[in-house]
Amino acid sequence: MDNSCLTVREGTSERPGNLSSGVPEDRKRLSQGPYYGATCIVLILACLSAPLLARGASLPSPNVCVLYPDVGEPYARITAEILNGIAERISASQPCTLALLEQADTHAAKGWLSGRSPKVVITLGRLATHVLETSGTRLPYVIGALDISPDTRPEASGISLAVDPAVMFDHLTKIAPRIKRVFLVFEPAHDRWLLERAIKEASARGLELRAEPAANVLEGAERYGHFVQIAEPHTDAIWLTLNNAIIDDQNLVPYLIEKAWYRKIIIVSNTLEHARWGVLFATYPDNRALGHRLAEMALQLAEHPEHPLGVDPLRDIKIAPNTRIMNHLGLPAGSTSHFEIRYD
Amino acid sequence: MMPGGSGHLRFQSTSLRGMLPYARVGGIAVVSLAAFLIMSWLMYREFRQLLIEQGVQLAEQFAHTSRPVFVVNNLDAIQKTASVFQGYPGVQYVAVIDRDFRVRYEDGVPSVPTHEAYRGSWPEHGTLAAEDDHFWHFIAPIGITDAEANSPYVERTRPGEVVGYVLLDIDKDRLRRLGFVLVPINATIGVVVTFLLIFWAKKETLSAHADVLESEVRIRTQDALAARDAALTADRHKSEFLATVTHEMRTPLHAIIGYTQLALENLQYHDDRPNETKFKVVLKNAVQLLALINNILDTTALEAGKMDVSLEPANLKDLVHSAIDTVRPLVSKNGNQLEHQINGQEMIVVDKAKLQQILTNLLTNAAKFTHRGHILLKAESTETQLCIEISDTGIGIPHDQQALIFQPFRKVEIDNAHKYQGTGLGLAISQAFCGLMGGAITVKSSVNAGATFTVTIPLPVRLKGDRHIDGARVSERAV
Repeated sequence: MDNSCLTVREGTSERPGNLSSGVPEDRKRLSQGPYYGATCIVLILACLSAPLLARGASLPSPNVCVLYPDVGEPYARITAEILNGIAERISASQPCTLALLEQADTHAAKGWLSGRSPKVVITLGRLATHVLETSGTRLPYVIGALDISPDTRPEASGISLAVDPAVMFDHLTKIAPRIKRVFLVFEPAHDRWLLERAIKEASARGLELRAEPAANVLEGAERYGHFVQIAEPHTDAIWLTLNNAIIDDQNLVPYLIEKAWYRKIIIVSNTLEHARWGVLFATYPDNRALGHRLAEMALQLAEHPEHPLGVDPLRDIKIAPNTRIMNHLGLPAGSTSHFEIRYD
Repeated sequence: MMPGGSGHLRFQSTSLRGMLPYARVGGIAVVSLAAFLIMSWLMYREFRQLLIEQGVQLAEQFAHTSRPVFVVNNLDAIQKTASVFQGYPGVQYVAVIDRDFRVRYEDGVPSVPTHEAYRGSWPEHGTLAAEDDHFWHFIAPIGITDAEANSPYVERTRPGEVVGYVLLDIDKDRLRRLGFVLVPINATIGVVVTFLLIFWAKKETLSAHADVLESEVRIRTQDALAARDAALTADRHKSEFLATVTHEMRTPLHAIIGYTQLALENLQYHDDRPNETKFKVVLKNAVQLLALINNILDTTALEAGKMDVSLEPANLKDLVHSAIDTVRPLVSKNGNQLEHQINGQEMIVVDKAKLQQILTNLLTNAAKFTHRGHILLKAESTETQLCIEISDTGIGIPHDQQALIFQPFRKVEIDNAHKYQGTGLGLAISQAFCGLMGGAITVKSSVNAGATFTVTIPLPVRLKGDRHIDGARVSERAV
């Protein structure tokens, strides 16, 4: 019955360094299923921790709790890096963490949070955010590790996985200095905020941004298919954002890469896997830095929980170039040795 | 029960028993053919199902292959992909349509107006949408899925989406060809198997019949052997009985003849003519009776193999004259003329008594069956052979009875047979005597044209120790 009951991993990080391995040392695993089992576990824990609770009553409540998904690789490593980043920034206030399995019980999560009374919660990923938002708790929270949009969440606080156009343009112009025009397809209901930033940042860098809307993958495919036909080699670039609602990874991207190869068109992407497939470079989050930013935002929100901080785009990114594509496009690949991930 | 009813029942029983093998053969044939026809139908159905599954797989594969080119609306690529699938056996029509039922690409002529027929009931998986007598119509959706659906860092997971469909019309030629091949082949196999089963059943039946017949033959053979032994025993007893009786009858008969002759001499001395005539009749019948008894004795001796051959020098002329003298009264009585011719050496070494009896028998027959005719005896002896030919101009012998007259007690069957008295032993004894001396008697005759009997005896008659010739025991005697 593991799958039908809430299974959480909770812990309290006394030393941030404990998260370096990705799993806090003092984390416990709780199984809370049917009421009988849950009651038994609560009673046992109450008996065992009575001295600790008596002493803990004098300890300060944690300022920040983190809810995150209990998933396997490669996501577990990413989550651990983000958790490490968070812990590095809020070590003084002893963050507590709760790992949630897919079939998480929102009531149990709410109870868990009530027992700890944090000032703010950080949710990592879709599951944690969903559990917190449906649990009925009124705690302020910061969303991380999710491709949220202020267009759909105007009252939210957090950092989206959507890459900040300014950072994207900086990397693009650095690797391909001859770039003059950038093509982009956006989803109006979701990506308007990003588009506005892109227009502004492109203009600031002397780039022409050509963006066309698409409501679904077929329209997205049509727009990108058109772009790859009209784009000029060397001076035009196609930007594949992180929107799976308009970009079909399995069918569109391979086609674009094939066409771009023959026409020597630059494609950049915010999906790391695309770099392996053959785009010029792909971005991926700097998870530790993201953790830092989330923690800072959480502490800021804890000070003024009544003022949402809004959604920021992802600025802490890393670049994974494809040197074979760089060579094919005639771009200098000698300066790519410092990249952590590089596809040859 | 009435005889007629019994016969009817027997007829019915025989008919049913006779029809049983045919019924069994018919049953085997019907069952075998039915089994093979059912097998053909099952194989046909399985193959049809297989072809349908292949068609569904082909449509799904076509949809899967078409998905990328469909998403990016690359008509050249779609055409290239479709041409590959159109090359599959039986594919007559391919089409790619979008979810608004607009045709993106098609090649061939659809056998049914697919868009109208299936609007509103488009499947979520590849399926056989319809079929008619000549085509199967397969439809498979072109679906796209979200590769990031399992990512925990994506807020919106895009559900699987059908963006279009592929249509595939495959003809039923392969299925039809299979039907054309499968049914005759299975029917042929069925016939062959039927014949084998029938042959096997027949063989079993024949084997059973052979066993029955073999035991019946064995039983009958044992019965026949027993019957033969019984017959031989009875024949031996008959011969012994005849020999004993006739021997015992001959002794008093000699006394009768002797005293009759004495009485006859006395009557002749006293010239008592009336009584003399009566006693002559007695004497004549006694002599005839004695001859009959002697014949029976000879026959019995021959059958028992106890007849001896006594070779001795004899004068052929004397033998002939003696035989002629014996039969002369009968010859005269029937108004016949008897002539004889003797050539060659006169002295020969034969069983004198037997040769004389042979001549007497043949001349007696000639005289008996010839009236007012001519009888000719020709005898010729050489160094190597004695040949005696007796011919007459009598009533002759039918051709079909010439082989029977040498058997004991067999007489020529003619209309007025009662006129010719006799025991039917004469020719049989004569033939047997000739055989004892290494010779034979042949006859040539036709009805009303007389008969010619030819006696042939090789000379010299060779006897070496005791041996059997034609069933008779011969003892060598110094000549």
